Amino acid sequence: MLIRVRRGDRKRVHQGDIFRDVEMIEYVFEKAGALEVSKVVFPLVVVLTQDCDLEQDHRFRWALKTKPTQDKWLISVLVAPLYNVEHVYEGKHLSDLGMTMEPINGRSTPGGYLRNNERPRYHFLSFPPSEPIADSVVDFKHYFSVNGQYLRRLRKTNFVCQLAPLFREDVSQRFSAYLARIGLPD
Amino acid sequence: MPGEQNEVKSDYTRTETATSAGSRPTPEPPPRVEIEKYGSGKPRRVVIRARITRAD
Repeated sequence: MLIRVRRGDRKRVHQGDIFRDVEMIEYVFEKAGALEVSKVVFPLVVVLTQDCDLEQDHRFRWALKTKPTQDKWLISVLVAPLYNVEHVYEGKHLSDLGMTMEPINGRSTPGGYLRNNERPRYHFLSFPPSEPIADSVVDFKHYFSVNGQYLRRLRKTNFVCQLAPLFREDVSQRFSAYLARIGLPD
Repeated sequence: MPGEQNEVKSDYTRTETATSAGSRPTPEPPPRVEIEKYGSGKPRRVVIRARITRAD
């Protein structure tokens, strides 16, 4: 099923915003003057942080009147990567990081489960042909956080589109359910 | 004046190859534009190394 997207406003970051080329710092190492920074650049990520939290952070952080506390400020914003579904079928979507993932047969039942969002770990997004995004899969297991100010700076150049209401709540609700799952012992 | 044949003078000669309004050449189809879609690539790692020097 095709999802709906909208252009969205660029005033602040919203839940469901999709950004391109977002960097995640893997590690920073410094010893005896030698500095090494490793970062992973994700072609596409979707914002998962609750929109009310993002709205409050924006309103309180950038208010004209200084607030007495920074109580509503966010430390970071949660995002999750989108992978090209064709790469996910092959299990090669992280091959450039030296990682081999479990393949999913796109032409049989496992592929159908994936595309019907019957696998709790993944969320399949099929974009309208008018949108410049290939069919993608969100991997909830790979969520990470980015600095809010960094994401705010990216809005002007790296914002792609925004998931429309209901479609973004669908992602958010499934992500919450995935995090809250109980792993029972065998 | 009525009845007079007005001579049409022109500085070009109509040739046999001139086309009429009913047989215009077929326009070429518009060029096919391939739109590159985001999400075609894969995550990649970038490692930056630098040396910190202290100012004297």
